[in-house]
Amino acid sequence: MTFKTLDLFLWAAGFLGHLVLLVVLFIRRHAKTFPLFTSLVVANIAQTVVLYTVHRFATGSEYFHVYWTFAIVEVALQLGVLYEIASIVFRPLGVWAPDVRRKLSLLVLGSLAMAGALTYLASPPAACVAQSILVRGNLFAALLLSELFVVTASLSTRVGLPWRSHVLQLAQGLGIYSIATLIVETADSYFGMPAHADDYRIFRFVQHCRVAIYLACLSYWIVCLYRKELPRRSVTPEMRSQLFHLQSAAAYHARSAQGVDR
Amino acid sequence: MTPAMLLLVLVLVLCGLLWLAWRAKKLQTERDSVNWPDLLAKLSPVGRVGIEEVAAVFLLPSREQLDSRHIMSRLESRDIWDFIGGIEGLKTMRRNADVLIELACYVQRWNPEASIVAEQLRLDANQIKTSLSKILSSERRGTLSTWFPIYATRATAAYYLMTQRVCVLYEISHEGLLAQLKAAI
Repeated sequence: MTFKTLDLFLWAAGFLGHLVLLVVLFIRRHAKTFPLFTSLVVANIAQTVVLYTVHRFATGSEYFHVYWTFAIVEVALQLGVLYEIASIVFRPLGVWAPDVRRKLSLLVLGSLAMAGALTYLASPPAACVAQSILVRGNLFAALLLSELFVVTASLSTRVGLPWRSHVLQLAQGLGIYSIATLIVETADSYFGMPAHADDYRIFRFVQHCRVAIYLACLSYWIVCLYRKELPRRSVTPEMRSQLFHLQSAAAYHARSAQGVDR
Repeated sequence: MTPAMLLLVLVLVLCGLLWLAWRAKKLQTERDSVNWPDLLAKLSPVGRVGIEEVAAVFLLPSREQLDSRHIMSRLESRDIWDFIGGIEGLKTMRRNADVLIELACYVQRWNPEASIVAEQLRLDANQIKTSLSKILSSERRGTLSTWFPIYATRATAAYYLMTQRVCVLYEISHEGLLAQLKAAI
């Protein structure tokens, strides 16, 4: 296994990009707001260092195992970041919005079922079991992440839940990358892993495009998270008082409604 | 499933996801760029006095209205129908409820804490939706006369609360627009 200049450049760019993003997350104090996203960035830095070392000093089989361990951790953390985004968007008052909880659960289950079914049906041309697992695993992760991103964005827009700018920018980057990955994995599931040197060139080109898109997202996150968000205004005592009176009327209304149900 | 068929399914799923993402983005952009007159123009006229009358009986009933022996003091089904404009009136309220939520989103540009009100508005809007669907289903079953007064009153009270919540929100966050808003709803 040899590294070409472009591979090394993309690898180094990703490593540096993640380091800069990590610094931005800490100096702008976003690490506390987005702990799972910060963990994802840290995991990516660790992954680059470990995989590079393993690639230099270990066997291909060992590299495969370490690669997969990190891939699973990365997907788990990406799902965690989506949860983090959803929990900020769908919990504007600190608790899950009651009118979206059920819909969101159903949509998440539906997304899981669809990703699982399509992965099960996929039979990518592969030279060995490991290649087949690789393609199927990547396809499942790409499908699930893309579906969940779209579900979160659509549902929140439909019910009129606003996105704060940093959350929106984080989700946009992740969403674009998920969709790009899904396009690549769709192609991989059809063509399979390359068997000839010519095919490998095309495969590498597609993978390079995917990494380039990720680097663009990484740059976008660095710029956006470095910029400050518009300050939030707090609720005035007058507003609290008026809302309290309205809430009392609503509570009475709810009690009356229960009386009707009985 | 053959690889070609799976590819077709995956491409369809991909197109579907892209279409949903594009639609969500379009809706969000529309919501962010909507101007005040356009938003008010979306509100359809409803019988404000009638709605207040029906909502008041439900939200703040007098002692006589709560007493089942005082039939005369209760609102009759026909009165409620006339006050709110029947099922069409309820459908208008349902459409207006979505606009009221958009009005709350509009205020959130300046006051993000308006999300408290937006959440309450969504719950009220759900109440209207549920009541309307129950009324429509009772109409199909031929039991409209029984269920209409019950669910129409609940939906009207929820709508009335929505209008009041939005007015309070604008009174505090954007008083300059309140007069126009009150005239529209």
